[in-house]
Amino acid sequence: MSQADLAFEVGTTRQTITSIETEKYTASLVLAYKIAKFFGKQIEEVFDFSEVEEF
Amino acid sequence: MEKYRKKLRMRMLLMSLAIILATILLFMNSIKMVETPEGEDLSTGFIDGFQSGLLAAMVGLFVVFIIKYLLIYRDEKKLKLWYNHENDERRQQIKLKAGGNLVIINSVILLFAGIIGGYFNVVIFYSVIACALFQLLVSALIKIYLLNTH
Repeated sequence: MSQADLAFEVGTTRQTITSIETEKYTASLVLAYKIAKFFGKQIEEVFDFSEVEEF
Repeated sequence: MEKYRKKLRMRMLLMSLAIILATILLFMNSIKMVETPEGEDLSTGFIDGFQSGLLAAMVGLFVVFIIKYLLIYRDEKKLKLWYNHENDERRQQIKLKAGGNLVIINSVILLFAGIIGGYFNVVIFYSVIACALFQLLVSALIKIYLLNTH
């Protein structure tokens, strides 16, 4: 599956998926949930937010 | 998606109205129904040309947008892609950081204020237009920077 396909399914853009993969951008809870749901997994199985800086 | 279709329809309608209005103004400007300040020096010619150019650019831009929206409107996949593009959370965040719609609204107000001010004083015209352009330039640069780093 390509980044564009995933982006299309979860309602975002390919650039955002690229930014999430390269850790330039932290997905919101809603987007993280949509991506995890798409793969049929829990959010913590797909994302590791432990090293994300607090705002 | 039907709600978004309705939104696009409304946008196309508003743009069509703006095109009609701008064309009327352009016509009035070309037959000199709206006069710029007295005295036929270089600056008045510039102001006149600026107004016509701005209106012509507006018409051209809106025509392109209407064609683009029509193509999107008819294709279900393109519609969903464009919907995703417009509602993408990363882009919205970047847009907000670069000033959001406020910069555009401010700049449009400044442009119109500049044009009206131009009827009274050339210095006002240049200052206000420069402010609007500077504001737009800074916002665009921030947006480009953030799009590449976020």
